[in-house]
Amino acid sequence: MEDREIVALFRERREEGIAAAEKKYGGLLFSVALGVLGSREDAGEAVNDALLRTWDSIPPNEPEHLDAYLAKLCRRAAIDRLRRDRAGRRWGGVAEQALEELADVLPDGKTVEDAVQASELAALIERFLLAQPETARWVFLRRYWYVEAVVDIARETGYSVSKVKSMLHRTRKALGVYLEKEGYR
Amino acid sequence: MKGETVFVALGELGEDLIHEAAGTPARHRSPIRRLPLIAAAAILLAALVTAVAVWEPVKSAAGVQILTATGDKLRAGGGSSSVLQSGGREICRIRDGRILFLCWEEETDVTDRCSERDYYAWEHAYDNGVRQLVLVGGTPASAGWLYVYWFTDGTAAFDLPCAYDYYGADWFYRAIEDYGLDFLRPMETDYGDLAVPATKELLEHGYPVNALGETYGPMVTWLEEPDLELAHGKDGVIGYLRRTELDAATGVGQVHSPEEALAWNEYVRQRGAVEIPLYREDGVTVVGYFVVGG
Repeated sequence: MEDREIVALFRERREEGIAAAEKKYGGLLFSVALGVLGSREDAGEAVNDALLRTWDSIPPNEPEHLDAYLAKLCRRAAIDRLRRDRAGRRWGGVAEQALEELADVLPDGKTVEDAVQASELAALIERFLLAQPETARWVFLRRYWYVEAVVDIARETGYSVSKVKSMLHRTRKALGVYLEKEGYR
Repeated sequence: MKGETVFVALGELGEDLIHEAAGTPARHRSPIRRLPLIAAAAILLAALVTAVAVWEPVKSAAGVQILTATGDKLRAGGGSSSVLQSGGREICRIRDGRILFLCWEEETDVTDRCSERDYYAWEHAYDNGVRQLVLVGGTPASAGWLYVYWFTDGTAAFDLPCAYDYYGADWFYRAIEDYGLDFLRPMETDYGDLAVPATKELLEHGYPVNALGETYGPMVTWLEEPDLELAHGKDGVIGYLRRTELDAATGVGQVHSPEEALAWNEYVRQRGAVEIPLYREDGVTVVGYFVVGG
């Protein structure tokens, strides 16, 4: 089913839209959630959360890219689940590695206080990423947005693992420099 | 947890970017796909790259380059390396159809100064007497670059990250003439009865494997290093170096910081030269020796 048809089902408040979205993008969503949470059970619940949030937000929203819209809600739902019950949950293994790698981008203790600041930081990161070569951007997002293992990224791109690591290192370093120039360090 | 701030902020990126990354990656471009760009010279190029690879027996690993040159005879070794150069450095990038030269975090648009015949040159003399030359040539579709360091003891080190493209380019040969870089000129090599796979064959099928399960062949820029790497050894003998033996002798993977680099250089100075075997493609029959250091 085409994305626009799925969105139309949501708009018309027809619950088949949820099943259609899950059928088409369930794998993608599960993979994102599993990367963040590291538990299949938790990941499944995060996918359900994301589908419910989609139901609640379309309408009024009219996503242009349904895959990205769903994935974004799913990633957010997974992080929310972690934060809601921090004591009982840990970041998934892949996410934990990704977080460690990102640790040097901002100095210790630097946090964003609220959603507005997170959005500002995201806007800066987005501007930075748009200025990067397409492949470097793709690799960075697969690693830190889609929470994918380096070895999987290497397989998808045809690069060696060390090449992927090197690209990620360079991009993180450049991002740190960029954020510092923008007053974020 | 450290890193969480950026990780969470990434969640707010625009959907266009997320959608782009959800798709298929721009796969690592095989040189084979570039062949049409230089089809007329393809066979010649393959031979030249193979020949040149003989002179590049040691490549970077763990971020360390230890290629050195003396006059027109290149050899690998930690002993005479006076500078350790970090690998993985980005010299140029192509964006929006423009060639951007990167230097000290700054981008310079050099597109209009480069063509198939023309190149952009950047030179710098460091306080310690080391000179650096970076050359960029070609068009946005065929851009290539190289850099050379000259050390105070008369040796030089270089890297040719895009050799496959520019061995067919006029700007490369003009630069060799203009800057006296004869040691970069490709050479033909007679391999005798040694089995040496052609570059084109390697690019299409990967490295052949011997009875020990080891890959062998000349270094090719776009491929992982083979287990047995073609090299030019003592008394002009050509054979295969076992990479693990070469790495152990040259410090690859053992140097991770300037301090360790200095310590390694000191160790090599005291150790002097060591010889490691050159084998036939079977990885067993010794045909000569390769000298490291000294």
